[in-house]
Amino acid sequence: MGIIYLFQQLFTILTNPVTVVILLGATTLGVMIGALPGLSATMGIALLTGLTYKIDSTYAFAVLMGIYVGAIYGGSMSAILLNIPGTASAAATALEGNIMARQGKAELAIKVTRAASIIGTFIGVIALAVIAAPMTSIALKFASAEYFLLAVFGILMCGSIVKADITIKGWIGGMLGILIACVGIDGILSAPRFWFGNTDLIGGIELIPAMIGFYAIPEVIKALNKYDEVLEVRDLSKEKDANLGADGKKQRPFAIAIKNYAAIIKASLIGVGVGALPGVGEDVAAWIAYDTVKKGSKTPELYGTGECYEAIISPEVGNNAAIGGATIPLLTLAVPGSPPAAMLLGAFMVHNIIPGPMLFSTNPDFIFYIAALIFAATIALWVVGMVIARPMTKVLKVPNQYLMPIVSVLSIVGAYAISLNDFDITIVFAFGILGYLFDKMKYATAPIVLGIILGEMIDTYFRRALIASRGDMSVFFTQSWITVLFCIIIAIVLIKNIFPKLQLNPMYYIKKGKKANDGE
Amino acid sequence: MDEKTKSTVRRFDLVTSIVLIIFSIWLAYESYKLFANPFGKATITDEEIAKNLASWYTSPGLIPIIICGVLLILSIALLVTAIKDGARFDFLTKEKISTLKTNRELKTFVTVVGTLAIYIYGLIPLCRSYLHFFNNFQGFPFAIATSIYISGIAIIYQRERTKRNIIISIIVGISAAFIITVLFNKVALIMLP
Repeated sequence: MGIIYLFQQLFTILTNPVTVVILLGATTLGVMIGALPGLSATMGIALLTGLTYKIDSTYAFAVLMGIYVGAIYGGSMSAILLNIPGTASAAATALEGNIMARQGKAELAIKVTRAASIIGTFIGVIALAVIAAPMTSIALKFASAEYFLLAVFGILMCGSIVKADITIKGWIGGMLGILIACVGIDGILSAPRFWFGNTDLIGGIELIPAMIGFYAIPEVIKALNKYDEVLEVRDLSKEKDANLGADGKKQRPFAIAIKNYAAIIKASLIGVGVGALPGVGEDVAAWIAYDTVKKGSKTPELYGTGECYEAIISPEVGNNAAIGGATIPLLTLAVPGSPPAAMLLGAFMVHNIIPGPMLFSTNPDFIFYIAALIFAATIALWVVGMVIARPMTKVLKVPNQYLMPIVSVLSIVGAYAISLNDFDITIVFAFGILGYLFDKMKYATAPIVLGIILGEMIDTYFRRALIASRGDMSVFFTQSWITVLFCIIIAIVLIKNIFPKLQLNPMYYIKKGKKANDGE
Repeated sequence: MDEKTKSTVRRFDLVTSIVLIIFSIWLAYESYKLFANPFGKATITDEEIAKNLASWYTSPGLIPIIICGVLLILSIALLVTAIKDGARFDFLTKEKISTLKTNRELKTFVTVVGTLAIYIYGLIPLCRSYLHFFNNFQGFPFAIATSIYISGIAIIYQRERTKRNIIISIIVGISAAFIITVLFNKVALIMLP
């Protein structure tokens, strides 16, 4: 049924010329944002959330989804043309893509990654449409204890997977995020917390300005630090015969992608799965997809030669399938699966849409509308991609000293526009400095942001569960099979990270015992 | 991460872990105060405190105190990791501190943060107070502040500060500022700072 609803919504979108034009424009802008090193999908959504909040929500979401899909793909363009991934999710694509570009096959590589991105996004959307309803019916069984454990699981997982250095730092980031979320009026007694006499802090730290600060300002500083670097952009107009194969026939990018169907299947499953993990997102999905496909490859010797298409297909399918994957927990559980999805959560709330299991009853069409928007943005990407590839080489030449101050101005305007509060600009500034320092000290941003998002859930549901059980802590271990399952998973994540050498697979000990017996 | 970066990062970790230990203890104390007196009343009786503590599971300080405890443990673990990896307080020497003055990254950080602070806390409020010349163009003061900021950054970070580049920077700054202002203020009807 999910698929039927998806196509119904898609039909509505495609028959509205205004939405179509918006999607085309937003996807183009998204590709540019993704392609420009230093600008990311999260930053694009963060900036556009504030700047589009006055527009009708139907069109505002079209803008945001267009930016999301476009930017995740756009990263691969600069990865191929400059060997600098525009977004972190395209880093794996740069490995083979840039070698292809140096061999004069940049345009073909861009076309193949576009085909892979379209296939990946399409699979992610189908997964979203199919899984959302059953996921919601499970989520409806969640009470306070389950929600609390889900949020704890999310932060633990994100801290252990998305890390720039050691796991401890990922978890520290998560804890700091929760503490930031605790600032302001609490959700049970309405008591003000950690406001230290500053009335601005009573309202709490707003998510969108904090995220804009975290994602935009550090990139501005990093980009301006490299202001004297001259980027060598490959000129696509010189590649007239790039699409011709060894046999002299024109190569079709979709045919090349489909030939690598095994890589597509593996990468898309990984993309949807990793995307659905709280806060993990497209970057990790791309690397795991690349690594898994490479390990299982029949032609590993082709990697690094500029002849291996699966090396650019797998990360692109992985990171684009993660878009649908990341949207599943976002819409059904209000737990974002990636940093851009976290930003979308803020955008939904700005437009009075509260994601979670009740969304199906309060706004039954919404999930399919978002899935259809991603689908439509994919179609827009196909159209836009054909036109934009060559002009993009010029966009990539825009010097950072002009682009970056504009980004910081847009960050301030975007943060201010939502509540017209000067304090939100201070949040952008303060979190920008914090974000840069954390980045230098190798703390990943995702766990901190997820902590800010899930902090309220952790605080409110923990106390609600205890109030219902009159302070009995056993409610978190025994309330239902879901709590038991969460406790087991959380215990495994903790043990795996605290004692990395410990084997949790019983078969390991059985085999070890057998070996010892055989030895005797 | 290469060995040199790792060693620098571990030194950062050494300092951060100590800061985090102090921070978590202090915040845990602040959270405890929320247990006893959640609404921060100026005067509170012993009975009220006892009553608040009895219903500990409803307290707004409950999650913060638990998180502070976890943060304290993690910070100690980070401190131990940093020490195990060889980090020492050997960077607090005159020579090492003087090398910071020539550190390019630090210079960029200070310049960008400084100019942004001037823009946010100086230029915008100043222009807002003194440049309200046009009633039908409310965004004018913002456009002026933004022109100065963008042009300034563009000039500071020019590869070669020639007359031509400075003029281009000013033109880019003014046109970008006015495009942003008109687009958001006039077209999208968004209020500007």
